[in-house]
Amino acid sequence: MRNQLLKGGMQNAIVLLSIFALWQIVVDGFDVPATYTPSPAVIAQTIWAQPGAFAAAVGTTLLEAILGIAAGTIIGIASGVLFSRVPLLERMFFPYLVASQAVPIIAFGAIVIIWFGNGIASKVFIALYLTFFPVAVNTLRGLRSVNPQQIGLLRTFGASSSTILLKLQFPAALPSIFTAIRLGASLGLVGAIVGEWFGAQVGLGVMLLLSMYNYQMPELWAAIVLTGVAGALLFLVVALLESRLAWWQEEI
Amino acid sequence: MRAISQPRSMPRRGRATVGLRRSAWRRVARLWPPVLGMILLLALWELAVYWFALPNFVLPLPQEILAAALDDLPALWHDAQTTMFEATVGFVAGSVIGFLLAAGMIMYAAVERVILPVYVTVNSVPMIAFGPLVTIWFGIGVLSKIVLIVIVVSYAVLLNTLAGLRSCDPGAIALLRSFGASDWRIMLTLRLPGALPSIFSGLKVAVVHAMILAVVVEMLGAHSGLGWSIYRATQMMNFVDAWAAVLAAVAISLTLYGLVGWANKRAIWWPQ
Repeated sequence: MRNQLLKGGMQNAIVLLSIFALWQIVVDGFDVPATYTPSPAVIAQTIWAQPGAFAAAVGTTLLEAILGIAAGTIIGIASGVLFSRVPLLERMFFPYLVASQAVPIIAFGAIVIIWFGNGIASKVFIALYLTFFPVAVNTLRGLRSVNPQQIGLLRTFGASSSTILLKLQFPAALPSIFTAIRLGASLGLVGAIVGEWFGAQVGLGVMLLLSMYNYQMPELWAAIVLTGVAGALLFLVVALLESRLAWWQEEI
Repeated sequence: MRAISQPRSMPRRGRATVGLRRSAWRRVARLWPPVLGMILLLALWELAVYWFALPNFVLPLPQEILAAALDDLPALWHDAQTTMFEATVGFVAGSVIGFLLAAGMIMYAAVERVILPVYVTVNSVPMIAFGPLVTIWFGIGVLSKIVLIVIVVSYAVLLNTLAGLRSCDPGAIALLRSFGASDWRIMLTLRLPGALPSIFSGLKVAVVHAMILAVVVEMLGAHSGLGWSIYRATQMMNFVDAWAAVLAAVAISLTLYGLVGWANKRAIWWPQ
């Protein structure tokens, strides 16, 4: 699994490098004006010229996203377990959780900013609820996917329902929970960035917005590339966690 | 024979009507909990506003939002039309492009080797990060939103179509080939129908992405649109209007998703 991850990473790196090389050649060869698209070298120089500012932006946005994703995961798993225990609650609210997946709930971010202000809390909350919905849905589906005969077997051995939950249902649900966390991780990052558009001091979203207003193409591209890096980091963290916690799962 | 079958059919018909009534009851039994849940949520919402005396910029009442929406219905409808236009045009164009690319990749391996890595790389960056860039390149009109939606939708449809076309049973392909079927014939009669479920699950994901991107990219700047209206409303502290626009976006998204689901049911008529 870890080898697979490494191999995939190597392949991605090679593709990425060749794309950057091609991009550099095209920009240099055809003299594309930097106001249209800067070359990768110019983007790298831009980041290099003020590493502190870019690091602060990536750090702030990542912090917002990670806090929100973690909290959303915990609350999502807890609600999934609650739904699996109280069928009436599930039948009353689960359809709405499923429907939330078909809706741009990120638009509620505008309202969250009104509630929690311009600081980090509002972005954390946006990332939280964007992660919460898929995790809650997939937790319940994962818990339900357990073979009833296995539950019956454990029960005949006198296992309590909390033992069955911890030893059988939860491990069985982990792969599907991680699928949701991976989705939540990318949504959470997007949520943090969009939240920053509505008002913030530091962050990748702020950087994207300001460089658009000021027509600073190198800065804009630097922010785009760093957003990609932040997304890759989040993905890596989730993948490593998954290989630790759900190690019996073969494929990524 | 006829004499015997006559009385037999009587109870059968009776059972059928009982079954019908039972299924109607079952539908009611299935529907009341979500309805009750919604009523409960709305009641909690109202009670919270009254109990904590929340001002309407913190939480407007549902009826206030509805009143605001009805009050300025032409403006809301105008914004909704723009967003729907961007999402629908981007969705349709992106689906066609994604589908054609996938078909091309199945027929010619070279297409896949060149195009797929670029697609994967571009889409590994959260798409909204490109929002400011397309806004500069293509202006604040509908084009910038449509371009971004086309990229995202075509990617989702491409991957799912590819997986679906590949999932075909090799034995079935060999069988058709042994009867002299051409590649095109195999594509049309075997691979394509087999890929439909996977294609539709891609389309369902894609239609939601299309709405999300339309709304979010509009927030960066637009002439009209729900996302733009949300952004403007929050900047002008007009929170009831922001709620109305958000709920309109939710309603449109559910409708578009429902349409894709309906098309899915119509297109795949055979049992899975």
